[in-house]
Amino acid sequence: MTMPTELQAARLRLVKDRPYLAAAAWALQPVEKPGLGTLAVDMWWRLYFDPAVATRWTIEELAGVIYHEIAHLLRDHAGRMQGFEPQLANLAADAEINDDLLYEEVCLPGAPITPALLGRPDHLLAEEYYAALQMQQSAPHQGASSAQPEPSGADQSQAGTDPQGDGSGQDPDSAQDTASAPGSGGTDDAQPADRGDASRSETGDSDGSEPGDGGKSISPSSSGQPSDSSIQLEASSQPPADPVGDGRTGGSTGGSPGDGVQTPAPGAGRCGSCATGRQEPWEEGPPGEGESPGIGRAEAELIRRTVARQIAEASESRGDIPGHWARWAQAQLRPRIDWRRELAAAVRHAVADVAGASDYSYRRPARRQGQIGNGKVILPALRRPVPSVAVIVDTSGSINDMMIGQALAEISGILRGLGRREGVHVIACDSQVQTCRRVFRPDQVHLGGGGGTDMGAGLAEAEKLKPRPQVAIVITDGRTPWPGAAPRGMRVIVALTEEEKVPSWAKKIIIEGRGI
Amino acid sequence: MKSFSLAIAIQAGAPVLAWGPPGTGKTATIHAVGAALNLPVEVVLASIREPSDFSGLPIIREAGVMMEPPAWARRLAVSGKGILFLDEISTAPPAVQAALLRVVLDRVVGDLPLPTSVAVVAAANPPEQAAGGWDLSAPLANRFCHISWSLDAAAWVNGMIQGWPIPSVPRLPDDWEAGIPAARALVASFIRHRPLLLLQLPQSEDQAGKAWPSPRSWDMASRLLAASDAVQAGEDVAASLIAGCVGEGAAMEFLAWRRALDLPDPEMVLSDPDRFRVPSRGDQAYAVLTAVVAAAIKTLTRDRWLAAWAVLACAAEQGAKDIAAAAAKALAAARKPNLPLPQKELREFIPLLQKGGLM
Repeated sequence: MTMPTELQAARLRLVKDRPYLAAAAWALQPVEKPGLGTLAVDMWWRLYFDPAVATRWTIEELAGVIYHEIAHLLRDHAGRMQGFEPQLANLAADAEINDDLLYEEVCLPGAPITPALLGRPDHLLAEEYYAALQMQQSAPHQGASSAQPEPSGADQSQAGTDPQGDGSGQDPDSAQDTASAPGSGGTDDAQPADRGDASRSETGDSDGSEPGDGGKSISPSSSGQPSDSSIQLEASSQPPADPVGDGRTGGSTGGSPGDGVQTPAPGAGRCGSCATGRQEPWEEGPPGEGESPGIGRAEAELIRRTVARQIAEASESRGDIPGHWARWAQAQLRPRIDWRRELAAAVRHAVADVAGASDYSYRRPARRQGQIGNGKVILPALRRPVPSVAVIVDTSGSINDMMIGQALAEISGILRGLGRREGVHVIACDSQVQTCRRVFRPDQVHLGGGGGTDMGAGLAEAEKLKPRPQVAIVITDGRTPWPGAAPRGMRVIVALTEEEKVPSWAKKIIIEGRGI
Repeated sequence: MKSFSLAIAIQAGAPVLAWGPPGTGKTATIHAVGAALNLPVEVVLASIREPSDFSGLPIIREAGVMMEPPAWARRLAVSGKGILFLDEISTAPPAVQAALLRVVLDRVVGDLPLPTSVAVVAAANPPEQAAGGWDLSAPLANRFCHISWSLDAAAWVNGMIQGWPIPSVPRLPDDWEAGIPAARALVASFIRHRPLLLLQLPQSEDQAGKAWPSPRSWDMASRLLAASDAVQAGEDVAASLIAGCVGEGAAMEFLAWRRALDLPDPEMVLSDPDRFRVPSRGDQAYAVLTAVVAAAIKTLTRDRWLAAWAVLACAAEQGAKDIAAAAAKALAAARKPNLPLPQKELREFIPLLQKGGLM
């Protein structure tokens, strides 16, 4: 498939400006869709374009749009936003990308969705924007949008509709919906200067349009159709007098009415399934044969890795790599391990490995003995002595309470999962032991002290406890002397707040204030 | 796709472990696949079993202690085929897991060897979701091909409304094992290229219960690769099966290496530019063209210079004009004064380069 010269040139320009994205840019498989009225990308890396659009936007804008869509694909929005309500998911994903793009002064046509339009600060994740959007939407509309894919179905079915119109009935009715959306007055409303304004106009709109929708008595539930207010939100977030936007809508509905179910508007809330993970009616299916077979998940992951490696290489030699790409590449190449999982696994292992953890033993015969095989079968019995656990907390001042609380909450959660309900000994320790008491909930922990550090004192105190703990978990910043040998009969896990050396007999886990 | 990979692994004789939260239809799918493949399914809940249920019940007879197999093992041995489904194995205590080692890989229960055509399938809840869960021990984990059971909301909705379809499962052709030597050779030459990936013991304890590369799991991966090639399963299915055996990281390295093998050698392309066929995927076409240009620039003679331009013209003719233009820019920049300017080829690219802001 050859694209119009303008699109070819736009892709070339993108690759020239950002050579590290070349692998992703060239991997896009162009598909011509006359009458689409815009550009869109699906989750299988197909680039749908309307030949007419190539001349409507400048090369810079086209390059910006391709760049925006590549960002969706690289950040795997299709995978991350799957199962979310598609309309809101697309808006949220756009907001996540566009703040970075606008900071780089990338040209985007029309009015791109920005975090500011959603009333949220920059640099959040799409998931966070989604939660914010949901809050905004559910405030005027109680219960209408409970995040599930089919909220509008529940809403609409009250209007005496029947959920039969599944596959076949979807096209005409959704076309009607699109037709009604621009006409319902959303675009003429005031630009949402602040959040209160936006939600007020939203309420008005949806109130106005709902009777009309109900009157149609067609159920829009099956096609992942947007609920009313999200259309309104989107319409009102575009500037009222936008010639490009107008032309776009007109072009698509005029070009082929059956096709334009939802006019895609890249960068402004409708990018195709690359941003939502939900296949749009005008998209082709999963990867298969043919001229533009699409790219499957495994292949896409390979492309992501290639791009990440190129970004990492490029950021060593040139200084103009945007920070968000550098961070993204870092996360791709060296995924951080969630310390909570690591801590949980370490505690589970320590508890499982201490002498006599829940396991089978031939020491005592089983109760089944005698019932089976006339006493000739030798069966083991299940015994589960409960291991005792001590937590030693460094209170020398360099660790904040929130972090200690988090770590303790994780530890107690893990232990509860393993069947321990007796609470944990928590030893607060700086250069000497300050307090030592048994706690049952994290908020019972009272930490005192400060100044000087010696975790050895804490471990020595733990050794004196009765029953002696088999597992000791030390939460510290690591700047402490350690005893030369491990405490007798005790497994030690050290949860460090920063990279420091720990003795070889202890298991080290780095915990961070903000896990992934 | 899950039932697809599952069916391939079952027929290829690789033990499968399905990871997923409770209530997501693991058991139901395994029963459905068993029905579709016409295999009896024997369900054994590992978490409520004792080690002796797998290592055999010791019974004192005249000849000594016999390790007596339980009834489900006898049923499988009698029927000669079937699926042994071990449910909830991550909640089984460590001693039961140790007893499972022989069952999973060697298919021996007590003193009774199960027929080789009995497939072992296990299901487990991730330890953070299981009540009283244990991590899978690393040796047991290494014996499985791990499939992660993600939930597809759209498919569930369809199933609820329209009824659950019988999963369409591929049937391996009888001669699928003929592909194993080729798959083994491929895996072996990858390991020669990256010997460090042959064995990578899991570093942290939360990785220990997952797939990790070892000679055994690479062997299993090559079997599954041959099996999925035999039914022309897509790249995604093959990738998920390989990643299930050797882990995500090693599998990705392997797939990237295999992909690079498919690309033509730049020297070959330069020696015969007219026969050059552009790969259909844009990123691969770009990789080949930049490699060709880089090779030509490295030792730049008049012949190679002209051959490189012929390759680019050939690529442009086949529809990869924009990709060729990017490479043409680099090639043109490397021109030496004694080399002729390729007027005809260059003219092709000039409008595009100008529009793209490259000139």
